[in-house]
Amino acid sequence: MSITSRILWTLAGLLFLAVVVVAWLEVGPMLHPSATLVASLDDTCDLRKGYCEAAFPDGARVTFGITPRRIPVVEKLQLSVQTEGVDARRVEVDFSGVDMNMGFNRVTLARTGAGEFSGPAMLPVCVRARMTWEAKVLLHTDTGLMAAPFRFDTYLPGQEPSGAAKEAGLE
Amino acid sequence: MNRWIPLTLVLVLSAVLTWMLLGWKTDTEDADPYKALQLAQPPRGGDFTLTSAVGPVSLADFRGKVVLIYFGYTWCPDICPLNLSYLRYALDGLTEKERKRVQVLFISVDPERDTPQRLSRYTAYFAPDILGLTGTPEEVARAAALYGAVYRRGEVENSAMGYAVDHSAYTYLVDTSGALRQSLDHATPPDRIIAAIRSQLTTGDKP
Repeated sequence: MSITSRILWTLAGLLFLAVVVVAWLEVGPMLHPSATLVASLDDTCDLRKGYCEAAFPDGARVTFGITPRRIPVVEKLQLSVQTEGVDARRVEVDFSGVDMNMGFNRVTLARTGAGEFSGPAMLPVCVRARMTWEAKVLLHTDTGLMAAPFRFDTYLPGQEPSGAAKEAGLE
Repeated sequence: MNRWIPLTLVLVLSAVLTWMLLGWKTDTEDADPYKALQLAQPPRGGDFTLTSAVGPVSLADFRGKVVLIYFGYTWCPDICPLNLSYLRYALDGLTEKERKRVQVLFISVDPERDTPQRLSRYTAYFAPDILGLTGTPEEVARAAALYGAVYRRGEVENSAMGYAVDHSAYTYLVDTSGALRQSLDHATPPDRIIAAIRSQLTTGDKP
């Protein structure tokens, strides 16, 4: 075999290896997709009245609360999450408008104890009417992403429905 | 003759590799759990060109400076003045040298009423180095989309304002190379704005 042939065979071998590596990198994520598990939405629980709980099909539970209870927009809020039956490496909360694009609003909470996370947030859109939001508590686990949805309404001060201000603990 | 086989292999494998690297699109986005949950993608920022009272202005004009971008409008009754005041206090808290390397852009989400001249007068109330920008509705929408900002016109009954514009209230912090670094919450205290600016000025100074 001539030197030229050897070089060409070596080059062909290297190219073959490169093709295999690129194919593995491209196809790998498709073969092992990150699982997503979504808890069912409990629309009977009102975050303006207190903590709400969501259950995942695998039995894991997440409790979510926002203070101040009246959930004012463009004011500092405190979020708290407690998890049960799941080991979350990281917890985020994503706020979106129900039937309305409210932009990108996502915060990462800090771990404050075993299965407990909390942190500040703000609904950063000045909305001059009643608005329904969905907060998705996102639990990052070793097996994938788990999402627990919670819904709540926001109002401008003085525009809460009758009795809502009192129920929400307004002073 | 023996050379033809490896030569053909090299050519075929080169073509396959080139196609895989440039043209092969696997739908790996489906494997993105955020996309599967229909969650908004994080904003990436980017360049835009809008109009000021002194002519067209591009974000790219401010390379080498830290840029703070706020979307609002001059008829905004409360949150814009508060946020612009805090930005002004932050600018006042910088050294003269630092302040020369910072630019605040106030982009109007009400291009119908906010002319460049009106914006210029409005921003001057807060600080001379806050630049008011506007454009066609399409240009403003494009810039807002880059930063994940939203806005929506809503009628206000019994008000001389006529209508208000609900809008995102973040201040977007762009580094000296034009990359979006941070979204500061509404009413972030001036000392925290100063710290965020300085962290980018320091980073930008590094070789």
